Amino acid sequence: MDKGGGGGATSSPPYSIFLNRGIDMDIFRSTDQITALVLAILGLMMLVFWIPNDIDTGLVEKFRRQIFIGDALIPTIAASAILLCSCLLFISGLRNKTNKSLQVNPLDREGLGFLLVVAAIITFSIVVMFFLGPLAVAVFEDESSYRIMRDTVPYKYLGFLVGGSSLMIGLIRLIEGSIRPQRVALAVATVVLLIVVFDVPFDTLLLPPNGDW
Amino acid sequence: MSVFEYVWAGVLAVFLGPEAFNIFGFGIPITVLMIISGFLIGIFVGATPGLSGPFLMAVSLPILISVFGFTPDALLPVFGFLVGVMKGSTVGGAVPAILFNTPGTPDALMTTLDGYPMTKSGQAGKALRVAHFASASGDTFSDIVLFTCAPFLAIAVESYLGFTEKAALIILSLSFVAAVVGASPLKGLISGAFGIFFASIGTGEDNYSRLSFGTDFLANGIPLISAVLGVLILGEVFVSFEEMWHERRDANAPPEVPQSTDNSLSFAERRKLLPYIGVSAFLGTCIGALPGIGSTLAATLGYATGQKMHKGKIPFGKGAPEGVAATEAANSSVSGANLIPVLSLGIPGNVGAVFLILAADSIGGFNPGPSVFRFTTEEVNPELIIAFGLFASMAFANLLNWTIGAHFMRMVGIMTKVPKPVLMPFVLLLTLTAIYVQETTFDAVYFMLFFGVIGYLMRKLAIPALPFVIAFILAKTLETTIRQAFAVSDADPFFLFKSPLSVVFLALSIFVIVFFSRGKNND
Repeated sequence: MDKGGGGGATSSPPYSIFLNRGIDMDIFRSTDQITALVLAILGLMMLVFWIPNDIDTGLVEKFRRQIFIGDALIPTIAASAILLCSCLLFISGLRNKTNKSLQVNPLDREGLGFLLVVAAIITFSIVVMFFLGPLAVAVFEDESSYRIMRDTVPYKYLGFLVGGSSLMIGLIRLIEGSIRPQRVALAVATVVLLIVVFDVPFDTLLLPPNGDW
Repeated sequence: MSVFEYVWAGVLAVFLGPEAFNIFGFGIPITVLMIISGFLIGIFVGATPGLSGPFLMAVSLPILISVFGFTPDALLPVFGFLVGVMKGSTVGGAVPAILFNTPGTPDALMTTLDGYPMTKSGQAGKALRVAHFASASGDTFSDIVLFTCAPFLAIAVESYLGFTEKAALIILSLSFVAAVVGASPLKGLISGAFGIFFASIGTGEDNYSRLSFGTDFLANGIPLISAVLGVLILGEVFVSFEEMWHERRDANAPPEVPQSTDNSLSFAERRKLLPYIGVSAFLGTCIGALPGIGSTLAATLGYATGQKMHKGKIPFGKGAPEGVAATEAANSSVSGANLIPVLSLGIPGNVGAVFLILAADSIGGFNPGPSVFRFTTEEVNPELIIAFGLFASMAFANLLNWTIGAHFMRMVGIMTKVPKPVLMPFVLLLTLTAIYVQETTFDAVYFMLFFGVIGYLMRKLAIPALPFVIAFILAKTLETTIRQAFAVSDADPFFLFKSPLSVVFLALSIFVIVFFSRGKNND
């Protein structure tokens, strides 16, 4: 039962979007090679800069006339494997006329732009989730702090409710291109459902952001 | 304790364990209740396109741990729920594939080929019965193989393999997973190497936490659950966001087809399906026992083999019940066999097994691997009782599948109506909440989002995520085993090549990479 996490299923090949747009298949080959090049550089930087400067022991260590494996060995092997395999991937890309391995639409400007918007929505929602409760306490409870009030309704739910709802609504709006009142209601209802599932029955569980305050 | 007493103790731990509540004086054991809950919820989740069993296992883990705590008593109820989810989601995945031509899970894709044509010809009820019969049969066969093989394999591993051989075996398993998952073994290896590298951050034996840039943020290492959920769940969620954004079109509801009232599956019809189910179950079990090869390949092979065997009047692809049976038996028989490498070697072979290991790791008191199957007679081995309890839970979940599975399958078709543009943001928020509840710090959420982006990039660049996850999980064991092997070899630099068995494992590691590289280049 290998379902790859939340693997969504599609009835058409995922790359059909690109094929339909008439994009040259060479893009797949070049993307694979660019990927290999970037990963090779990453592996090289790990080997040359990160590992030597951020691990105190070497590949092997001598302690009281006995030799032990040092902390650097496993990361060095891993980084070397990344470098070597990336170089081989790059070379195999040069040799192959067509590359069949890359069957999803590779990164393009449109996709990266989309990812940035998703990142902005998530960041905004997390900021709201994190600070709204403490802000409300600061405004409405003069002689108290959020740490004291974090188990008190409505403050304990405020950040999660508003931040979670804004996350849901922002993403639905982005995906569907518009937002209907029913969707807003559904988004808020699902956040309330999460509160009911995770918080109401359990005294020991802390909803975001209450564990950080 | 004798072998039989261990088995019996495992069964009693499930059926006579702590009671959840009483009905007319009869106590309902908590583990039994959890298996039933997991099974029923699993059917609903499996029937929901975009969701999957492993996802439910991931998000339910923090709740389960909060409810049952970190004591060994929590193991069987938690395992019971997870096993129920595994079984239920496998059955549920076929429902939307048959009714709406939309596979609930990727491995149900082949089920659409004959299942949906049967629906279009008014035989949806019969198709569901065929899928259920095949799925339950394949699953049962696979579980029987697991129950009989895993203990013997574990005993052999524990008896014959030392530190050196165990280290070489882990390297072989990682190489195998890297080679067979995805389209390019080189990309699989890169993915696995990144998994080992990231798992090295903030760990080690020196006082200074390696690769942490001297920061507190990295000094304690990367939470396993953040990395696993980020790469497996969030990566998929981000990709589906983008796909929906690209497509942005309303799904057209398929026209209603009048269905036949004869949904029965006679004994003669079942007997005709048995050869297909038998062959597919055997193939699926063999594939499932190998780490990294998922049920999608099993379903494809089962379908292709069934097609060659088929001589009926309805050809495969046009609504042949044999096609549904061949596919469902193959993909369902993977799930039990997938636990063979987990329980006998401690190596997770698939995503579902990853979450069983995560549960064991979080709760403590049970370390999946060859040491579990120590049949000690002088003193009780509690891990062995848990292992047999797990087997008893799987057998009970199978019984549920045979008895009530088919009825619930027919009820969950409505799950395909859940709008995906709402579902996937909900999955994101649910995952974020689940990880926070477990770790109680936003640091874990930041890690998960970071690994979600990595998972997204991996999917976009066709780099398989499973080798990363399995390497991340096994990195600590691999390093410890290598250190121990080096120490017992008196610091011999060629310690990995001193044992003939170890040399065989390492040679096989290279062979599988070369073999699959050549095979995939020639495709």
